[in-house]
Amino acid sequence: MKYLFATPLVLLALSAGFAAEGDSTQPAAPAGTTLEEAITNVKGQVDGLNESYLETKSIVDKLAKLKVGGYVQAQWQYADSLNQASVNGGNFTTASQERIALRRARLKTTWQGTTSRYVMEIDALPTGLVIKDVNAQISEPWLKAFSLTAGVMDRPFGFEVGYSSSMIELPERTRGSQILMPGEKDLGVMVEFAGTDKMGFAEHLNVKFGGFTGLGSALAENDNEKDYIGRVGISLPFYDLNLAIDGGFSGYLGKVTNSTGKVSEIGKVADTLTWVSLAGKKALETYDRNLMGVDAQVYYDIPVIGGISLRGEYWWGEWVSVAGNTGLYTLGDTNGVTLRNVSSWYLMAVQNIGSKNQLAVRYDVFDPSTDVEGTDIAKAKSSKLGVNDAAQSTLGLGWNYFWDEAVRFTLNYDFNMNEKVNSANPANNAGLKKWSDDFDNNQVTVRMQVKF
Amino acid sequence: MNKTISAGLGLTLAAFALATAKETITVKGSDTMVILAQRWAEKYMATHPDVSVQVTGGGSGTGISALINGTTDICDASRKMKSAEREKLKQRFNSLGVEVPSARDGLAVYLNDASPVAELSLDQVKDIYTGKVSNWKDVGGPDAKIVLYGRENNSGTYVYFRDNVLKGEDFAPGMQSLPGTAAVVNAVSKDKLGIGFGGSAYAKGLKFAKIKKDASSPAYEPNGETVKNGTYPITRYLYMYLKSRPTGAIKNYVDWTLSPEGQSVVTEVGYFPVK
Repeated sequence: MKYLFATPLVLLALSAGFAAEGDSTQPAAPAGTTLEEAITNVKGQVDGLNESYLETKSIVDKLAKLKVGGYVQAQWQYADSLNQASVNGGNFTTASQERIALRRARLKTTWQGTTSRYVMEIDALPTGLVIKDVNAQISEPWLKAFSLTAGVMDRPFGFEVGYSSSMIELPERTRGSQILMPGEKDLGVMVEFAGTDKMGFAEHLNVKFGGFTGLGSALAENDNEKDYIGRVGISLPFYDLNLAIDGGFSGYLGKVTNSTGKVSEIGKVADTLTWVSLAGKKALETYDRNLMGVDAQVYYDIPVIGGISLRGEYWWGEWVSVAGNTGLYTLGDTNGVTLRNVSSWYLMAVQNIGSKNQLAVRYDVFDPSTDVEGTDIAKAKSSKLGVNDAAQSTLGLGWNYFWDEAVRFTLNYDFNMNEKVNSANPANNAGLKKWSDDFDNNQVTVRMQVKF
Repeated sequence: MNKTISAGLGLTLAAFALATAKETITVKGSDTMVILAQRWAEKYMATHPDVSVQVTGGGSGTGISALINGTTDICDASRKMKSAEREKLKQRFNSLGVEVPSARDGLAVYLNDASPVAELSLDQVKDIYTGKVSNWKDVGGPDAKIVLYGRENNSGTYVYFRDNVLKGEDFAPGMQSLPGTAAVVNAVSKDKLGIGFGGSAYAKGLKFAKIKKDASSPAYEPNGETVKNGTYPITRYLYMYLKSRPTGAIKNYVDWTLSPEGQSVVTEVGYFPVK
């Protein structure tokens, strides 16, 4: 080994010697030095350098296990009106309908050992530091297919939740995903099976299952209930056809502990659909939060144009939210809970054009109360149904331009639509008047992302 | 009128510049394939002066990363892309990528010319590289420590050897990882106790160990016949990967590498044609 390094170094030393002949700043070789002594000197220097190289290499080998990456998404947005509610970057204020924002500023550190992994990802925004991923993973060394992850990680539900925010083709995930799985992350423990190349058909399978607090990444666990979340995924590549068909089934079985005895659900009072308080409920009782999901993705490489993917996802189930809203309920909220049946779905197409351009279109619908039609809302003055029970949908159109391997520009337009509430008797819907029609709440986003 | 003439001249010059601009194809990846890729590029450019083919090495893993990042048109790889890498390609390009087997290689086990060892079984090679056997006397050599040379982990040769010869086990920690097959050859050629592995096209100043499938099988050296008929037990394809179906200059170049002329370069370099 040392001879390998010796060869170029001897040449280097000799050439340095020649170069130094006319250089008075270099110390001259002692008079009377024989060639053998000179070679011995050079060999000593080479051995020293070799030793130094091996030391440096051992440090570099350790550092090679540490990977640092990140990205910044800066954007400008324009909304149809002041104070517009938005799931694309958050609500506008009463004084703004256009804004500059730093949407995400992530820094991710990963240390990858032979059978273990450490991950920490933070989001450093002007509004504060948010922890995204913090988890430890161990994997078994025999099949190299099973792993155990503990900490804050993506909920293993559906396709969109686990899709990287630096890769999503439109600026944000769907409304349903943001409301039901806010922030994508949760604190828990998860087992994963990822088939390897030598497992026959099982190489196409990916199974994830875990127990989570159900409180997202920012809160510590506050009750004994766990949310059990899992997905069975399959990925079928047809290389000869340049086609891949992927898909999965997901399940979410959770429970929410209510601080109070206040519980309401959709019911009828004198033939009017409304929120009805349930009698006889006590504090610290639990309520089911169960979701099912199915997703599919098809990828195909269209000759001359580029790759296309068609994706769809449908979630449905019973959900526990805060009173009068669709937000996640957490213990301590004294307003009680609402029990609602929800659904969320989208269809999406992404077309690459060459290697620089990409077009995306997505239509998504979130229905926060599937038992309620738009016409049930404001039908009677006594009804407690509101805009948080109306379905909303978005048609998003996006264009991505990949400037180079690090920079992406995105131009996006969201056509936001709403389920129309009852307008038969305007006196019944004074606060809901604009919801009796599809009101203006569209939005433009221009984004620049730099990722390393 | 002057403006019209100026605009016309400008457009003409722009059209001329576009028409005469050289089409550039970038190729990055496997160090095992870098000599082959350079010879392909030289021969192709000699007959296609309108095309510039730029070849760099760095290892299969580096090439695959460049393909996913969109910084190379063609990735050379001495191993298959992993499913995780395909997933990344799917996310960025909505495509599985296109795999083009472009040559075959017998992955050789290098021994110093002075080594008395002539043949090894696959199990013996595995035991040597996993550290279970560390003295030459255990495999028919002198009573001396075996010096292991190998590649770095971004190398496709490293991954192929680990997955297929070591059956997924890790290399012995004492193996000296070198940045290229040429460096491995150089090291083994100067070290009587050394052993290395790499493409069979690199054969200067050393000898190949004959390899047996198991202790009772005949031993074979990698050559055109044994690689083609599969009797040499460590053979692999060398691949070109593209992010999507090639068109234009890239398609013409890939087609040419698979033509009889392109495949003759494979033989000249010391690998084996795919057809």
